[in-house]
Amino acid sequence: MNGKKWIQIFIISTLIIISLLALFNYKIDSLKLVNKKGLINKNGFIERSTTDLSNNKIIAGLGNYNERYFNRRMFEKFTENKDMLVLGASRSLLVRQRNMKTDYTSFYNASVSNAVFGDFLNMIYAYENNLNTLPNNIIISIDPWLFNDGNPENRYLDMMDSFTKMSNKIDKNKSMKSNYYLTRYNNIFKIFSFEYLTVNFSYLIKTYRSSYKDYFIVDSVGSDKTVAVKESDGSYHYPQKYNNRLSEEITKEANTWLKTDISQFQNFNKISNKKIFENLLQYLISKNVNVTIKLAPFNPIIYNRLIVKYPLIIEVESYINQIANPLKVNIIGSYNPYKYLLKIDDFTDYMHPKEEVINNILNEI
Amino acid sequence: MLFNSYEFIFVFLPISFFVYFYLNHKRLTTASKAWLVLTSLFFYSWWNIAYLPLILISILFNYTISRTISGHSENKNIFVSKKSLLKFGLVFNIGLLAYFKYMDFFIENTNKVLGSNIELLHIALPLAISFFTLQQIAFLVDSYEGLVEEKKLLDYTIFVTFFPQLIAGPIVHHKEMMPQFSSAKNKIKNYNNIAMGLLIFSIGLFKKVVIADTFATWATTGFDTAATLNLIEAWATSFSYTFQLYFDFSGYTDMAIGAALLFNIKLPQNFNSPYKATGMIDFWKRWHMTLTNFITTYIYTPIVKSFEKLTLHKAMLATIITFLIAGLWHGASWMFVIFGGLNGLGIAINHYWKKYRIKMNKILAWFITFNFINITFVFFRAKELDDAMKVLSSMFSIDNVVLPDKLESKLSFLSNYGIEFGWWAKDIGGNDWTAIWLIMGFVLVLVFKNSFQKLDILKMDYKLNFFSVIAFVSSGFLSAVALVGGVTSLNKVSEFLYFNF
Repeated sequence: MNGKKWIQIFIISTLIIISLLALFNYKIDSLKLVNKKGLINKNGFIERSTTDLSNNKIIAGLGNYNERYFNRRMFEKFTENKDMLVLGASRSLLVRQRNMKTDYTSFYNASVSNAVFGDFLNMIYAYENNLNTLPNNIIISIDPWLFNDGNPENRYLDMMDSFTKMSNKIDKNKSMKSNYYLTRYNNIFKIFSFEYLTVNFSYLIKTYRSSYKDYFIVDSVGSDKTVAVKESDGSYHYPQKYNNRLSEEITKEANTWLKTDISQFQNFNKISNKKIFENLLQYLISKNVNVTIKLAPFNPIIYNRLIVKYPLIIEVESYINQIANPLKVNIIGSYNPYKYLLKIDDFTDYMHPKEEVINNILNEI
Repeated sequence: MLFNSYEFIFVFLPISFFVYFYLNHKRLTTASKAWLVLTSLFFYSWWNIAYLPLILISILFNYTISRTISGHSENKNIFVSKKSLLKFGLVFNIGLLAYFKYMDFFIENTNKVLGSNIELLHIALPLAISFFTLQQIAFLVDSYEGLVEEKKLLDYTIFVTFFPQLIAGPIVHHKEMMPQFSSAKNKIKNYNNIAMGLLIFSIGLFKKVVIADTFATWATTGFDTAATLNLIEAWATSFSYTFQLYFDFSGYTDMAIGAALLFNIKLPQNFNSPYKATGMIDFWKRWHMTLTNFITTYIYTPIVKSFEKLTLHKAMLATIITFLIAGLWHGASWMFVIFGGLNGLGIAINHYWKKYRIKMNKILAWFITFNFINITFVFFRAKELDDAMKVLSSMFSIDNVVLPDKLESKLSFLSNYGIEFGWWAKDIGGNDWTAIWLIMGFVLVLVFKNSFQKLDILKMDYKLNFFSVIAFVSSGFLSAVALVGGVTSLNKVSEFLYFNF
């Protein structure tokens, strides 16, 4: 046996495999982590889809894409200031212009999945940076986990530089150092990830399949009910199958979810991020933005148990009221579904209220 | 510190390795041993330094008792008998385990039986206590029987704390370890051992991080939603856990064996393709082999010896008692006792079967054995009996069958019999990939050689012929694939299952 020979083969193979892995991930880079000119740009998904949306088209069949970059690019394509901007997480994706009681002249819903305060700062920074002003009205949809430091969501760090700059803008006393290089370093690290390889690989297969379309344009929101649809005002429509689900099905799903380690509420034992919330409100008010805070109700099936497990949810609602009222910021909605006499099937699933519920709340503006 | 972490692979292991051989190269053998002890204690404390004093006290106590037992015949000033010293040592070790591992379990059950309301102590389980206590019990018994003697505290501390085997085994014996540490030949870097170590460590890392952790997602979700599983989900849940447990624990053992080989220390084999077993006796000869050896030598044999006249019935009774104890060793829960009891019963039935020489087709024997093991692991994994029964009842209930919706067009007539079509793996968060992984799991455990057998490739002369060259080169390449696959999947760090036991 020749151990030395084997070790040489092992080391050389390791180096070759790692290099190939990194090269493949770098070349494809489907989430645009480091290679801004990666295949995804060549393919131009964000560029094409944002252009279509800006041209008042309705787009459908969107897959896994970076919603944060998408919105930033949308802002770059805005030619005039919006009358209303909506910021929030997935529970506000169904807020749309035509459902508003007030006739806003222009409107954009920039909600992104699992949004946290960092995302709001990034959006506001990108908006102001491009248009040199802020919208006349902003609805901020606030979920209770935004006040949880233990929430592992950190996609906002992909735009670390704008996050740092906006943080410094809203809090002049505390100058934050940009962690741009740290973020870049973290992203480079992901290039060496096996998990990212599988993401890129499936992306590549999908892209080069002859029948593959990364999205398509539809004439009306109802013309294809099998896929998710995004309107030109940024709002979403879920596929039809999510709209008529039985309460038994939702209950089963809720029970499953409640038994998991709910990442958003991990270590939720104190209300954090108060400063960032208060500074953000102050900043928007100082810029004459008319701010409305929206609290989306929880499905009663999970609310009952969440408030026992995480009683801070109730405290978060009181805290928001306590901060917003003196500033004359309008608060609409409540986490408590019983205030609106909501039932299990008023929701598309255990978490997301149906459009009618959201409209009902929007009427409070 | 976890084996599957960047800090272990890229910092701790290389530094420990190079400094150890540098000190040996400079002929500082005591310093090199001290270095190994220091790194091992650092490795242990990385998790929670609060338990460092506990392991040190346990080592000092057992060392003192063993020295007193060994020197008993020469030292006339000792007025306590050797047997009493052994009993004292055993009481201390078992007491330590009982206090830290079983006290709350005992209080809970006392409260249930007596209707009392004694408050639980909520004692956190010190890392590795089950393993280092067993190892030291074995050492004390061997010392009493005059089989081993350890004069140097430093050597004894290495025996207990050597980091590759400290946390979750393999359970080693003094007589198989210490000659290796003393051997002059082992103080020099050995490229053959390094190659074997890298090969088996890479396989272990891949088994743990890529395979076991993938099965873990379906197993965990399945057991969390035990009440609502359909028939296929319930089987997928139990198979996922059976595979998770094997790839997790054998992956850990491979990494331990691999890391030890870098230091020229050969740890005993702990798994020998256990899911290929065609009987329960066969299974326990292949599964957690060092535990099987321990319970056979230190629990089963003394029980059997205590019988005046040994019969098969008595031997089987001893087997069941031994397995009940072994089950409880895994954790303070009646579920582990049930797991142990079922396995003991399975072995007893297997012995009677053999006695009456009933022939059985090998495939059928494998099928029964595997499924029996799979069912006992449901108890091993479940937190409560109710959870286990929910999973088991779903596994054997034909009232709740959901088949993949893509089969609906071909098998639509089945809906007349109450069979539904839809997302068949919804409650375990699975999809078609779950089925593919489960099939791959079966192929891996039934068709492929185990990691120990794969070491054979390094033992032969690779220049023998063209095929041996290809086999040699591809083993290096595939090990590199396993290492890269493992290391680049480390983002989601997870604990090993046997850390809990």
